[in-house]
Amino acid sequence: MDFINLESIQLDGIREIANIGSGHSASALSQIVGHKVMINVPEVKIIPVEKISTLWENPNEIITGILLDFLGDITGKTLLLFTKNDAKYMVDILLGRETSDAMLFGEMEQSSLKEIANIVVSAYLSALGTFLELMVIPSVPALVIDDAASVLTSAYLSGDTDNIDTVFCIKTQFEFVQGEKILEGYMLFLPDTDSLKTILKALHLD
Amino acid sequence: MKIIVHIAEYKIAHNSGILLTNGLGSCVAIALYDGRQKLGGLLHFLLPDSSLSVDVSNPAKFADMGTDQLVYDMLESGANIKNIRAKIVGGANMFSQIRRANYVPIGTRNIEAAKTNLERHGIPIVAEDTGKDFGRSVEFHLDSGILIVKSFKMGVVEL
Repeated sequence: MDFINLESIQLDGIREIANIGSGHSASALSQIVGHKVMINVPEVKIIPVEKISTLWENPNEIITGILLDFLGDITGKTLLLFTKNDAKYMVDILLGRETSDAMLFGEMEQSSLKEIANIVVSAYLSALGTFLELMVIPSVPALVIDDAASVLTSAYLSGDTDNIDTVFCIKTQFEFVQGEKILEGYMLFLPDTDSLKTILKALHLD
Repeated sequence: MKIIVHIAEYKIAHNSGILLTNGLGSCVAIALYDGRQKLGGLLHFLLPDSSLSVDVSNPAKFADMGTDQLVYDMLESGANIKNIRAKIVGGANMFSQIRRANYVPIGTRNIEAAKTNLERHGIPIVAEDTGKDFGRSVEFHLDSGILIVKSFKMGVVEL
Protein backbone atom coordinates (compact mmCIF):
# COMPACT_ATOMS: atom_id res chain seq x y z
CA MET A 1 0.00 0.00 0.00
CA ASP A 2 1.24 3.43 -0.87
CA PHE A 3 0.80 5.52 2.28
CA ILE A 4 1.54 8.77 0.50
CA ASN A 5 -1.49 8.33 -1.72
CA LEU A 6 -4.12 7.79 0.97
CA GLU A 7 -7.10 9.95 0.09
CA SER A 8 -8.22 12.64 2.48
CA ILE A 9 -11.49 10.81 3.18
CA GLN A 10 -9.45 7.76 4.22
CA LEU A 11 -7.27 9.88 6.50
CA ASP A 12 -10.42 11.44 8.01
CA GLY A 13 -11.81 7.98 8.71
CA ILE A 14 -8.59 6.88 10.38
CA ARG A 15 -8.45 10.05 12.48
CA GLU A 16 -12.05 9.49 13.51
CA ILE A 17 -11.51 5.96 14.81
CA ALA A 18 -8.35 7.18 16.57
CA ASN A 19 -10.51 9.84 18.17
CA ILE A 20 -12.90 7.21 19.47
CA GLY A 21 -10.02 5.14 20.82
CA SER A 22 -8.31 8.14 22.42
CA GLY A 23 -11.56 9.30 24.01
CA HIS A 24 -11.87 5.98 25.83
CA SER A 25 -8.17 6.09 26.76
CA ALA A 26 -8.55 9.59 28.16
CA SER A 27 -11.48 8.63 30.39
CA ALA A 28 -9.59 5.54 31.59
CA LEU A 29 -6.56 7.70 32.38
CA SER A 30 -8.69 10.33 34.13
CA GLN A 31 -10.13 7.63 36.41
CA ILE A 32 -6.60 6.60 37.38
CA VAL A 33 -5.28 10.09 38.07
CA GLY A 34 -8.50 11.65 39.34
CA HIS A 35 -8.26 14.61 37.01
CA LYS A 36 -9.84 15.59 33.76
CA VAL A 37 -7.62 14.44 30.91
CA MET A 38 -7.61 16.41 27.67
CA ILE A 39 -6.78 14.95 24.28
CA ASN A 40 -5.95 16.73 21.07
CA VAL A 41 -7.20 15.75 17.62
CA PRO A 42 -5.18 12.71 16.58
CA GLU A 43 -2.58 13.42 13.92
CA VAL A 44 -1.70 10.99 11.15
CA LYS A 45 2.07 10.92 10.65
CA ILE A 46 3.65 9.29 7.62
CA ILE A 47 7.43 9.55 7.88
CA PRO A 48 10.56 7.75 6.68
CA VAL A 49 11.81 5.33 9.33
CA GLU A 50 15.09 7.24 9.75
CA LYS A 51 13.11 10.31 10.85
CA ILE A 52 11.03 8.48 13.46
CA SER A 53 12.83 10.25 16.32
CA THR A 54 11.13 13.50 15.20
CA LEU A 55 7.95 12.15 16.85
CA TRP A 56 9.46 13.41 20.12
CA GLU A 57 10.50 17.06 20.23
CA ASN A 58 13.94 16.55 21.79
CA PRO A 59 15.33 13.19 20.61
CA ASN A 60 18.03 13.19 23.33
CA GLU A 61 15.59 13.57 26.21
CA ILE A 62 15.27 10.65 28.62
CA ILE A 63 11.72 9.33 28.38
CA THR A 64 9.67 6.34 29.42
CA GLY A 65 8.32 4.26 26.57
CA ILE A 66 5.82 1.46 27.07
CA LEU A 67 5.37 -0.82 24.08
CA LEU A 68 2.42 -3.14 23.60
CA ASP A 69 1.97 -5.27 20.52
CA PHE A 70 -1.58 -5.96 19.47
CA LEU A 71 -2.90 -8.97 17.66
CA GLY A 72 -6.17 -10.51 16.49
CA ASP A 73 -7.90 -9.36 13.30
CA ILE A 74 -5.42 -6.50 13.10
CA THR A 75 -1.78 -6.42 14.23
CA GLY A 76 0.71 -3.71 15.06
CA LYS A 77 2.15 -1.77 17.97
CA THR A 78 1.15 0.91 20.41
CA LEU A 79 3.71 3.04 22.18
CA LEU A 80 2.92 5.24 25.15
CA LEU A 81 5.45 8.00 25.85
CA PHE A 82 5.99 10.28 28.85
CA THR A 83 8.91 12.31 30.09
CA LYS A 84 10.57 10.55 32.98
CA ASN A 85 9.36 13.25 35.39
CA ASP A 86 5.75 13.08 34.26
CA ALA A 87 5.75 9.29 34.44
CA LYS A 88 7.01 9.51 38.01
CA TYR A 89 4.32 12.03 38.96
CA MET A 90 1.63 9.82 37.47
CA VAL A 91 2.90 6.78 39.37
CA ASP A 92 2.94 8.80 42.60
CA ILE A 93 -0.71 9.76 42.05
CA LEU A 94 -1.65 6.16 41.27
CA LEU A 95 0.08 4.90 44.41
CA GLY A 96 -1.56 7.67 46.45
CA ARG A 97 1.64 9.12 47.79
CA GLU A 98 3.15 12.58 48.00
CA THR A 99 4.61 13.60 44.68
CA SER A 100 8.31 14.13 45.11
CA ASP A 101 11.22 15.02 42.91
CA ALA A 102 13.05 11.86 43.95
CA MET A 103 13.79 10.18 40.65
CA LEU A 104 13.89 6.63 41.93
CA PHE A 105 12.30 4.28 39.42
CA GLY A 106 12.20 0.90 41.14
CA GLU A 107 10.25 -2.30 40.51
CA MET A 108 7.12 -0.84 42.09
CA GLU A 109 7.18 2.29 39.93
CA GLN A 110 7.90 0.32 36.78
CA SER A 111 5.07 -2.15 37.25
CA SER A 112 2.66 0.67 38.14
CA LEU A 113 3.57 2.46 34.94
CA LYS A 114 3.05 -0.72 32.92
CA GLU A 115 -0.34 -1.10 34.57
CA ILE A 116 -1.28 2.46 33.55
CA ALA A 117 -0.23 1.66 29.99
CA ASN A 118 -2.24 -1.55 30.06
CA ILE A 119 -5.40 0.29 31.07
CA VAL A 120 -4.92 3.19 28.64
CA VAL A 121 -4.03 1.02 25.65
CA SER A 122 -6.70 -1.62 26.35
CA ALA A 123 -9.35 1.12 26.48
CA TYR A 124 -8.13 2.44 23.12
CA LEU A 125 -7.99 -0.95 21.43
CA SER A 126 -11.28 -2.28 22.75
CA ALA A 127 -13.13 0.88 21.67
CA LEU A 128 -11.53 0.53 18.25
CA GLY A 129 -12.39 -3.16 18.07
CA THR A 130 -16.00 -2.64 19.09
CA PHE A 131 -16.48 0.17 16.58
CA LEU A 132 -14.86 -1.71 13.70
CA GLU A 133 -16.24 -5.12 14.76
CA LEU A 134 -12.73 -6.55 14.80
CA MET A 135 -10.98 -8.56 17.48
CA VAL A 136 -7.96 -6.72 18.91
CA ILE A 137 -5.94 -8.04 21.87
CA PRO A 138 -2.98 -6.27 23.49
CA SER A 139 0.20 -8.11 24.53
CA VAL A 140 1.88 -7.66 27.91
CA PRO A 141 3.62 -4.28 28.13
CA ALA A 142 7.38 -3.76 27.92
CA LEU A 143 8.85 -0.65 29.55
CA VAL A 144 12.11 1.12 28.79
CA ILE A 145 13.58 4.33 30.18
CA ASP A 146 16.08 5.78 27.74
CA ASP A 147 16.72 8.52 25.18
CA ALA A 148 13.75 9.23 22.90
CA ALA A 149 15.57 8.48 19.62
CA SER A 150 16.69 5.02 20.80
CA VAL A 151 13.26 4.23 22.24
CA LEU A 152 11.38 5.22 19.07
CA THR A 153 13.59 3.50 16.48
CA SER A 154 14.03 0.34 18.54
CA ALA A 155 10.32 0.09 19.30
CA TYR A 156 9.38 0.46 15.66
CA LEU A 157 11.92 -2.10 14.45
CA SER A 158 11.26 -4.65 17.20
CA GLY A 159 9.32 -7.74 16.16
CA ASP A 160 7.96 -8.15 12.68
CA THR A 161 7.50 -4.81 10.99
CA ASP A 162 5.94 -5.26 7.57
CA ASN A 163 6.78 -1.80 6.31
CA ILE A 164 10.36 -1.14 7.27
CA ASP A 165 10.84 2.05 5.20
CA THR A 166 7.84 4.19 6.07
CA VAL A 167 6.24 4.70 9.47
CA PHE A 168 2.48 5.08 9.52
CA CYS A 169 1.46 6.39 12.89
CA ILE A 170 -1.51 8.00 14.58
CA LYS A 171 -0.34 10.27 17.36
CA THR A 172 -2.56 11.48 20.18
CA GLN A 173 -1.50 13.89 22.90
CA PHE A 174 -2.86 13.55 26.45
CA GLU A 175 -2.68 16.41 28.89
CA PHE A 176 -3.82 17.00 32.45
CA VAL A 177 -3.16 19.57 35.14
CA GLN A 178 -1.77 18.45 38.49
CA GLY A 179 -1.35 21.38 40.85
CA GLU A 180 0.89 23.82 39.05
CA LYS A 181 2.19 21.18 36.70
CA ILE A 182 0.89 20.23 33.29
CA LEU A 183 1.55 16.58 32.60
CA GLU A 184 1.50 15.33 29.07
CA GLY A 185 2.01 12.14 27.21
CA TYR A 186 1.66 10.71 23.76
CA MET A 187 0.09 7.57 22.46
CA LEU A 188 1.27 6.22 19.13
CA PHE A 189 -0.87 3.72 17.25
CA LEU A 190 1.20 1.88 14.64
CA PRO A 191 -0.85 -0.61 12.62
CA ASP A 192 0.90 -3.00 10.22
CA THR A 193 0.30 -2.21 6.55
CA ASP A 194 -2.08 -5.15 6.02
CA SER A 195 -4.01 -4.14 9.13
CA LEU A 196 -4.36 -0.60 7.87
CA LYS A 197 -6.05 -2.10 4.82
CA THR A 198 -8.31 -4.17 7.10
CA ILE A 199 -9.25 -1.04 9.05
CA LEU A 200 -10.08 0.89 5.87
CA LYS A 201 -12.15 -2.05 4.66
CA ALA A 202 -14.09 -2.15 7.94
CA LEU A 203 -14.77 1.57 7.45
CA HIS A 204 -15.90 0.91 3.85
CA LEU A 205 -13.16 3.26 2.71
CA ASP A 206 -11.02 0.78 0.77
CA MET B 1 34.66 20.94 15.77
CA LYS B 2 31.75 18.57 16.36
CA ILE B 3 30.07 17.06 13.35
CA ILE B 4 26.72 15.36 13.91
CA VAL B 5 25.97 12.10 12.12
CA HIS B 6 22.20 11.50 12.07
CA ILE B 7 20.43 8.16 11.82
CA ALA B 8 21.09 6.58 8.40
CA GLU B 9 24.00 8.90 7.64
CA TYR B 10 27.77 8.68 7.53
CA LYS B 11 30.43 11.37 7.72
CA ILE B 12 34.16 11.48 7.31
CA ALA B 13 36.55 13.91 9.03
CA HIS B 14 40.15 14.18 10.12
CA ASN B 15 42.66 15.71 12.58
CA SER B 16 41.01 17.44 15.51
CA GLY B 17 37.37 16.88 14.61
CA ILE B 18 34.79 14.98 16.64
CA LEU B 19 32.13 12.89 14.94
CA LEU B 20 29.02 12.59 17.07
CA THR B 21 25.99 10.33 16.83
CA ASN B 22 23.00 9.93 19.18
CA GLY B 23 20.08 7.58 19.58
CA LEU B 24 21.75 4.24 18.95
CA GLY B 25 19.15 1.76 20.14
CA SER B 26 18.98 -1.27 17.91
CA CYS B 27 20.99 0.71 15.33
CA VAL B 28 24.75 0.16 15.06
CA ALA B 29 27.52 2.71 14.59
CA ILE B 30 30.65 1.65 12.71
CA ALA B 31 33.70 3.85 13.36
CA LEU B 32 36.58 3.40 10.92
CA TYR B 33 39.97 4.93 11.71
CA ASP B 34 43.25 5.25 9.86
CA GLY B 35 45.59 6.29 12.68
CA ARG B 36 48.46 7.32 10.38
CA GLN B 37 46.31 9.83 8.53
CA LYS B 38 44.19 10.66 11.62
CA LEU B 39 41.28 10.08 9.30
CA GLY B 40 38.01 8.64 10.52
CA GLY B 41 34.51 7.86 9.34
CA LEU B 42 31.34 7.15 11.28
CA LEU B 43 28.26 5.31 9.96
CA HIS B 44 24.96 5.07 11.85
CA PHE B 45 22.91 2.38 10.15
CA LEU B 46 19.39 1.09 10.92
CA LEU B 47 19.01 -2.23 9.17
CA PRO B 48 21.21 -5.30 8.61
CA ASP B 49 20.55 -5.77 4.91
CA SER B 50 19.34 -3.68 1.98
CA SER B 51 17.31 -6.65 0.71
CA LEU B 52 14.82 -5.96 3.55
CA SER B 53 13.84 -2.67 1.97
CA VAL B 54 11.97 -1.47 -1.07
CA ASP B 55 13.63 1.93 -0.92
CA VAL B 56 17.42 1.63 -1.18
CA SER B 57 18.10 5.20 -2.27
CA ASN B 58 20.07 5.89 0.92
CA PRO B 59 22.96 3.40 1.34
CA ALA B 60 23.69 4.62 4.89
CA LYS B 61 20.46 3.00 6.10
CA PHE B 62 21.96 -0.47 5.71
CA ALA B 63 24.96 -2.40 7.04
CA ASP B 64 25.94 -3.80 3.64
CA MET B 65 25.60 -0.75 1.38
CA GLY B 66 26.60 1.66 4.16
CA THR B 67 29.87 -0.14 4.91
CA ASP B 68 30.74 -0.25 1.21
CA GLN B 69 30.11 3.47 0.84
CA LEU B 70 31.99 4.37 4.03
CA VAL B 71 35.04 2.28 3.07
CA TYR B 72 35.01 3.70 -0.47
CA ASP B 73 34.90 7.30 0.78
CA MET B 74 37.64 6.62 3.37
CA LEU B 75 39.92 5.34 0.58
CA GLU B 76 38.99 8.29 -1.65
CA SER B 77 39.96 10.61 1.20
CA GLY B 78 43.41 9.05 1.37
CA ALA B 79 43.11 6.20 3.88
CA ASN B 80 45.10 3.02 3.35
CA ILE B 81 42.92 -0.09 3.62
CA LYS B 82 45.73 -1.89 5.50
CA ASN B 83 45.72 0.74 8.24
CA ILE B 84 41.97 0.98 8.80
CA ARG B 85 40.68 -0.34 12.13
CA ALA B 86 37.03 -0.58 13.18
CA LYS B 87 35.09 -0.12 16.40
CA ILE B 88 31.40 -0.90 16.64
CA VAL B 89 28.76 0.36 19.08
CA GLY B 90 25.02 -0.27 19.57
CA GLY B 91 22.74 -3.11 18.52
CA ALA B 92 20.72 -3.15 21.73
CA ASN B 93 17.61 -5.22 22.20
CA MET B 94 15.68 -2.68 24.24
CA PHE B 95 12.32 -4.39 24.28
CA SER B 96 13.60 -7.81 25.31
CA GLN B 97 10.71 -8.07 27.79
CA ILE B 98 8.32 -8.91 24.94
CA ARG B 99 9.19 -12.50 24.06
CA ARG B 100 8.63 -13.53 20.49
CA ALA B 101 8.96 -17.06 19.18
CA ASN B 102 11.65 -17.76 16.54
CA TYR B 103 12.67 -14.16 16.45
CA VAL B 104 16.22 -12.81 16.30
CA PRO B 105 16.14 -9.18 17.54
CA ILE B 106 17.03 -6.53 14.97
CA GLY B 107 19.86 -5.27 17.21
CA THR B 108 21.52 -8.70 17.23
CA ARG B 109 21.14 -8.95 13.47
CA ASN B 110 22.67 -5.49 13.07
CA ILE B 111 25.76 -6.46 15.11
CA GLU B 112 26.21 -9.64 13.06
CA ALA B 113 25.81 -7.67 9.83
CA ALA B 114 28.39 -5.07 10.90
CA LYS B 115 30.90 -7.85 11.60
CA THR B 116 30.20 -9.75 8.37
CA ASN B 117 30.53 -6.65 6.22
CA LEU B 118 33.74 -5.44 7.89
CA GLU B 119 35.23 -8.90 7.46
CA ARG B 120 34.29 -8.77 3.78
CA HIS B 121 36.52 -5.69 3.47
CA GLY B 122 39.26 -7.28 5.59
CA ILE B 123 38.96 -4.60 8.29
CA PRO B 124 39.69 -5.85 11.83
CA ILE B 125 37.40 -4.88 14.72
CA VAL B 126 39.57 -3.71 17.62
CA ALA B 127 36.85 -2.80 20.12
CA GLU B 128 33.09 -3.01 20.59
CA ASP B 129 30.36 -2.01 23.01
CA THR B 130 27.31 -3.82 21.68
CA GLY B 131 24.11 -5.63 22.61
CA LYS B 132 22.38 -5.46 26.02
CA ASP B 133 19.18 -3.45 26.40
CA PHE B 134 19.97 0.25 26.43
CA GLY B 135 20.50 3.19 24.06
CA ARG B 136 23.90 4.74 23.46
CA SER B 137 25.56 7.79 21.94
CA VAL B 138 29.07 8.01 20.50
CA GLU B 139 31.73 10.71 20.34
CA PHE B 140 34.52 9.75 17.95
CA HIS B 141 37.68 11.78 18.63
CA LEU B 142 39.74 11.90 15.46
CA ASP B 143 43.01 13.09 17.00
CA SER B 144 43.24 9.87 19.04
CA GLY B 145 40.76 7.43 17.49
CA ILE B 146 39.09 7.10 20.89
CA LEU B 147 35.34 6.58 21.15
CA ILE B 148 33.46 7.95 24.14
CA VAL B 149 30.28 5.90 24.52
CA LYS B 150 27.57 7.45 26.70
CA SER B 151 24.36 5.88 27.94
CA PHE B 152 21.68 6.76 30.45
CA LYS B 153 22.08 3.32 32.04
CA MET B 154 25.86 2.83 32.13
CA GLY B 155 27.27 6.37 32.10
CA VAL B 156 30.48 6.96 30.17
CA VAL B 157 32.70 4.25 28.68
CA GLU B 158 35.91 4.82 26.74
CA LEU B 159 36.52 2.57 23.79
